[in-house]
Amino acid sequence: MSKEYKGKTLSEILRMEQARNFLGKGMREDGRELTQYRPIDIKVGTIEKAFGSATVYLGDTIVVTGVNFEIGTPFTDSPDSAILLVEGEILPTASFEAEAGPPDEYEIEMSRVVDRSLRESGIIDFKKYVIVPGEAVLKIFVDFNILNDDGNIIDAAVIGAVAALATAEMPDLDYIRENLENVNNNNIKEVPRKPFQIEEVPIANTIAMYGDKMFVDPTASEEEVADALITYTHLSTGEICSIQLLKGSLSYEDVFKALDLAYEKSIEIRNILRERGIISG
Amino acid sequence: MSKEEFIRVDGRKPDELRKYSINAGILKNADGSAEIRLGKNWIVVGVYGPKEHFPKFEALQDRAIINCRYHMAPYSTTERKSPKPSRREIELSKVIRTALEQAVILEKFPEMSIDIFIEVLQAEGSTRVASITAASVALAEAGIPLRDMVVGCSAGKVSGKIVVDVGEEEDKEGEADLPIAIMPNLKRVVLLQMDGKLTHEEFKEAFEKALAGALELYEEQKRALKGLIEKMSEIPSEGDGNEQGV
Amino acid sequence: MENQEERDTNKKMWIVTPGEKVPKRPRYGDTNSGEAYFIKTPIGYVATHLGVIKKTGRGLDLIPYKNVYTPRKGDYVVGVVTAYAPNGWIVDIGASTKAFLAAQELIRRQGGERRFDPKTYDLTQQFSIGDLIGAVIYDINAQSHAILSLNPEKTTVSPRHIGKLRGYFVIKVHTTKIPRIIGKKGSMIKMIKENIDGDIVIGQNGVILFKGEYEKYLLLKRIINTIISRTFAPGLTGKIASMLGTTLEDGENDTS
Repeated sequence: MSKEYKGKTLSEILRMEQARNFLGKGMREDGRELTQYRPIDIKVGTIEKAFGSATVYLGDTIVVTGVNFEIGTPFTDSPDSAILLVEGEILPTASFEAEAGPPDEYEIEMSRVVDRSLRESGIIDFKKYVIVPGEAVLKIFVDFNILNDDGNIIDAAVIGAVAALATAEMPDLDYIRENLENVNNNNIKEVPRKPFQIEEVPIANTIAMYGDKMFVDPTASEEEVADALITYTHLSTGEICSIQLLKGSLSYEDVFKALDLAYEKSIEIRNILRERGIISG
Repeated sequence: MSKEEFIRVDGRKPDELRKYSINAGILKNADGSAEIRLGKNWIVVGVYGPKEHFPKFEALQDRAIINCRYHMAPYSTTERKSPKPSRREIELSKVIRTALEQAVILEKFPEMSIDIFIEVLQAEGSTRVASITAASVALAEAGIPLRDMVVGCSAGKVSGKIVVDVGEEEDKEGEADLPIAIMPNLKRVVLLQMDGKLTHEEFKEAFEKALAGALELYEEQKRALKGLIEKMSEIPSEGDGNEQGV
Repeated sequence: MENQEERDTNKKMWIVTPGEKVPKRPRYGDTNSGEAYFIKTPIGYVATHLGVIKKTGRGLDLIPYKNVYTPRKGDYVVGVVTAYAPNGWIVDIGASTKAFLAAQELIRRQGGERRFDPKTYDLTQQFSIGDLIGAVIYDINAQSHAILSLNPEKTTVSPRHIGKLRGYFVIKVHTTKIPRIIGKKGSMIKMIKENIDGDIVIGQNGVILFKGEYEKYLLLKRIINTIISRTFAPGLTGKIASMLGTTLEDGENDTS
């Protein structure tokens, strides 16, 4: 088998060939412009058992995100800082290639890029969620799963994490402090809740290259045929908080051309989140 | 904002790399090998292959597969590191592999695989780019055809200043870290990661600093490789010399 | 960059590393192996190997420091059986691609007339995994596999070096060193063979076999090591001659 078609079904191979034909002409298989995202649908509160949740539909890509809070012991090197744990998994349902079992390197990379996009953005003020300095802090879990993978899962996962965190409710820390003896991780969901507050909104935008064509929001088959993929995460201030070259190579000039395109698209997605009332300002 | 006045934790200037050296052909058993020292970083790379890929059903009929493992020794860090591969090591193995894949002419070796083992014996920041720099020398030493060398360097923002070749201390305190790897002749970026916070202007400055650092290390790569041939061109002296290659 | 290039082309010999530009329209590869050690890129021709570029009468040669053996039609190679195929054996020749030896080749060599029949022919009875095999590359198929022959038509290889090889000492060197070990028009290997008693077999894939006294094997190994570690040094033939306890005839010492 050649690298391209290894482990692929006939329909996937045909879609890849189709993507190649279209992209070569500067077109998309689904009729989009090169710099156009697929329709984005964001539903929040889709998992009632979690403190916060969101389901994001980016075209046919589906990401479910759940936010949970626990009481935890801070790391010794940062005793007065809350803990954030971000982990993502591509479920076996997501595609023909997805498998059950331990995550492979692509999954780990994707998950770590989403983690860095959140962690470095300042979306969470870690100092705010200390229960007893040096002893007990809030542990914030952001778990996301890819239910269906039609490409660009990093962009979708960051939107999902932002939406789930922005709409999450957290246990009232004052109440926990007053009832330290009685509150533990088994009954934390029964503690009175307050809205969780986010401080910043990171937006990840993956830019793809096919030959000299630059395009956004690649589908799974477009990712397969792309020569290069790079993700930039921007803040509301216009600063960058994370970059990852996921595939291939870029000329020095294209690094900056892709950066400008990613920034432009980040504003667009930020506006969508605002219009849907998920973030304020 | 006078750059001249800014001195870094370890006394370096913003544009100054740590002390570095690269040696090629240091492991007798490997088909290709190299080591790099960059500050206190000490990284050894061994390349094996091309050899038949196993299991066979995973082999590719149109090109070779690169297996790449970036691994940190338990004693390489201040706090002992578990020898079990961490998620960080798995991610770095992947980004290093894809960076090197851009340069290796894989189509020449269908159904084969090339193993690249990167052992970080002592770590002091910017290990991924130092690993790439050494691995590319090891591949060249193995006689595996390359479109270009691959060389890496990092830049970062420390105390509000953009600096090249971020050390361990600086990375901990720093506001941003930008490792890059390039093919210096083809002028292409093959690894690019960033975390922290940078404006577009700062990113440009950091990118250019990392680029300049990489080009400086590229000269050292060439020196290490050319040294191998110079060594073989000496007037033969008495004695049999080493048994390299046998 | 352009000046550097011009300066380089005026030199007789210089070292290149992968990715470095080489003069426009190189007509060279390694003239010994016919392999090209450069590639066309958007910035022009670049070297793909660490090596020495040398000006010769025929043009420019790039002699690589090391390379990976690429099978060529007509090469005599020594390999190890690593697997059974439905109608023959897979032989590892340490090359860039796999090598295949058809059972029909062995039937022909043994003087058999019959066609290979997988139902009655027991491959394992003939060559088993781990066996050392000497063969000539008959062809390279479309998938770049080397097809091995035990019945070469035109070859200087002795029949006793074809087929299963037993009782040899083995020395493995990089294939780039084989042309140096053979020498100009076979001069080096001729001198070695004349001065070391025993059976010396040179596979183009870098496998050297020796049958003879143990002491002689050690001497051969020392000599090969010297050739390898002094690949680019002048006066190598003289050095080897003195190690062999012989002297050179006039004009035998090459200075390249």
